[in-house]
Amino acid sequence: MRVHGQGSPLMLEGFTDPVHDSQRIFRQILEAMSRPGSVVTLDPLPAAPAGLHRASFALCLALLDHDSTVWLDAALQNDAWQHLSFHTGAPLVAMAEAAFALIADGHDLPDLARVPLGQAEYPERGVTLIIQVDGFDGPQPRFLKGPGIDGTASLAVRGLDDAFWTAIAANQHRFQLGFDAVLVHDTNIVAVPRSTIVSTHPAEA
Amino acid sequence: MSGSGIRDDDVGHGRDGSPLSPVQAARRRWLVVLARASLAELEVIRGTIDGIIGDQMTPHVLRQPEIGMAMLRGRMGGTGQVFNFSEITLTRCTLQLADGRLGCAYMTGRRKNEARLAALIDALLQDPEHGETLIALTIDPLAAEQAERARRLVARSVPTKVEFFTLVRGENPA
Amino acid sequence: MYVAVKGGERAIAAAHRLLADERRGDPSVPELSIAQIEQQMSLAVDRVMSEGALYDRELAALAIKQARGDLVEAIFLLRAYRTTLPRLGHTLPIDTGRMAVRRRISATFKDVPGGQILGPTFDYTHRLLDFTLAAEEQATPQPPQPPTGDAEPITSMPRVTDIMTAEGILAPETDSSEGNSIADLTREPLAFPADRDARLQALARADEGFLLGLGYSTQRGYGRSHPFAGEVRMGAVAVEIQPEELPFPIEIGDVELTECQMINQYKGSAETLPQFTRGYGLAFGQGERKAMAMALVDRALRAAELGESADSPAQDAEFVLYHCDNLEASGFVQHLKLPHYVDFQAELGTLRALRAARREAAE
Repeated sequence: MRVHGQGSPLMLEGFTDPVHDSQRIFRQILEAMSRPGSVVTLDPLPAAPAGLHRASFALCLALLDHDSTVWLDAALQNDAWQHLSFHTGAPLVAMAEAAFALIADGHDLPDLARVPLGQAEYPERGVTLIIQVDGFDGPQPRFLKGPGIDGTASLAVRGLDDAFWTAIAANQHRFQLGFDAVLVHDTNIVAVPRSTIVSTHPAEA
Repeated sequence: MSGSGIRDDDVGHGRDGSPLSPVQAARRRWLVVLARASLAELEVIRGTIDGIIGDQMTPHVLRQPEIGMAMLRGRMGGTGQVFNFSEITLTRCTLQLADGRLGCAYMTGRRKNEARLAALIDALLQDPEHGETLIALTIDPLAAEQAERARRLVARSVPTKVEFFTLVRGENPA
Repeated sequence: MYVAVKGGERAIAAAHRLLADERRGDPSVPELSIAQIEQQMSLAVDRVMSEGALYDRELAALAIKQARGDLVEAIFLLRAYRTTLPRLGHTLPIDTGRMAVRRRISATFKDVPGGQILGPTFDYTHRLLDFTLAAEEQATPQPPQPPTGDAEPITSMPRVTDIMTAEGILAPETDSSEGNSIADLTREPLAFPADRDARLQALARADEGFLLGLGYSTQRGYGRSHPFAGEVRMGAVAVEIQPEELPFPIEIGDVELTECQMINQYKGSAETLPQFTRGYGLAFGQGERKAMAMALVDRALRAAELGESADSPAQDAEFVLYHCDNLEASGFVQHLKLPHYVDFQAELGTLRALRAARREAAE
């Protein structure tokens, strides 16, 4: 952001209580990550800039800082990025170097075959994708199993390209390398970490 | 010289190396003065501003006063390659007035109250109508006071300057 | 092998309360304030800030009070605290050439432009205990009278090394780091070979005593150097940052520093004429001994880069850098106090078996 004093557009506030708000949101992300497939509602949240869902903005405020690299798709490299840059100080990088990637629209995904998956020595360097979707009340459920899920969980995402599910399926063949994903709609988030196995039929899951 | 803020001949440069406009140079100067001001001094400035601009817009705090660190960088041999030397605590705050004016504060140390006040003063000093008057009344005297303080600190060492003399010998007439 | 041992909780809690009580000492003696420590133990504060790797006088003074004056413990406290603070950015490289100098000496040139300014130094004191300081009520000492008016202000203080570089007798230090990434030990662990930026960062937070011993060893022949204190300067330097929301950098305050440029002779190489080279030392506050020792060790560690043989401890980067941090050293040495009951039993078993074997052989 380059603000030259007078006449600047009005900026949005970040967290009103940065320390405790960050901790609260972090705790909720942890809850989502440890219960893959379950919808977690974040509350209460600051208003988000255009292009970002409120939960996406809160996630970024809680997770990003000066030391965490982030990739944004072209749709977000405007007002949204100005706000994120101002509030988090996170450096914008190419996908290959990103710790986090923020995707404005689940219909329009980057090439998920080329995202950072970490290395055998540093599996934690796999990217965390934050993908905005249209809702969690879609017509076609997926069935999830794995750590944190008692039996099978179902998840019906609206507005997410099938390429996501293909890429997630590839994750299980290279564990512990892989990417983690947080799907976002409005104030809700659903985590699909790399340890989760997804299928289209409950029996397979 | 440090501690004295910006010298008169120092117009400053932007991040791209270009010289600053007079408006930018003036703002840079007061930001530097505010960063070194005490809470009491900032409160006096706030009071002076209140006296001149009656009704103020309620500031919208974009970034609450926040304490953190900056990595302090040095140069090898003083002039050479950059290295990360050590860290220093700092406090920052950013707010915005309803007309869009942004005020920010960055200062070393852990000084939340000072940062909030300095950010507000930064925004208020950008007042198109009263700005120059306010600067003359608040920043100019404080800048002079800070320069004098820095001068006095350095002056304490002046009597410890070594005055070498050579003993006069026969073949070396005075 | 470590085995968790339980049962000491109550004893530990009691030990902490006892520690707090001992820290306070005799309650009839007035308690130290943070301001007193910061003002009157200021060189201890400087050391804790240097080795704690965080410039904040108040926090360092608090750490000293809490640590009962144990500076290594205070450094530990400050290092632990700094991990709770977010990194908000980095400063522009500080310009020690624009230091507000309060002390500046050169051992290489008597008539150096700007002069030799002794400042508040222990040098030339007689090291006789001053019993007047033990008196209950003392007269406030009077500082020397600064010159009145504008007589001879210290405005220009060129670095001795800049003068030597201009004459071509000292290898210049120029900025070729543009675009290169700068090592940061707070983000990436030390790896070898370590470049000079990583080495200087490690030395800046290194234990003063360890560096002092190593620096001394280079003077005594372990490293064959004949150093000169080209310049030592102390004073305030402006701290400048480039905020994200401003189109220009701003000063945000000052930091007190001591800088040492140590000059060493260098035989030259096929491409370079014989000239002086240098080691660089930088410490918070008035950390003169630390800055000088750091400069000696920095120069010693440049042996490989300058084509010199490196066969002394101070020239061995792995040895120096892996052992210079007093937090790591203190932790590993002091961990020996932790229960090792089981692995000691194992060694005891081995010892008995060896004895039994020897007895059998003798019979």
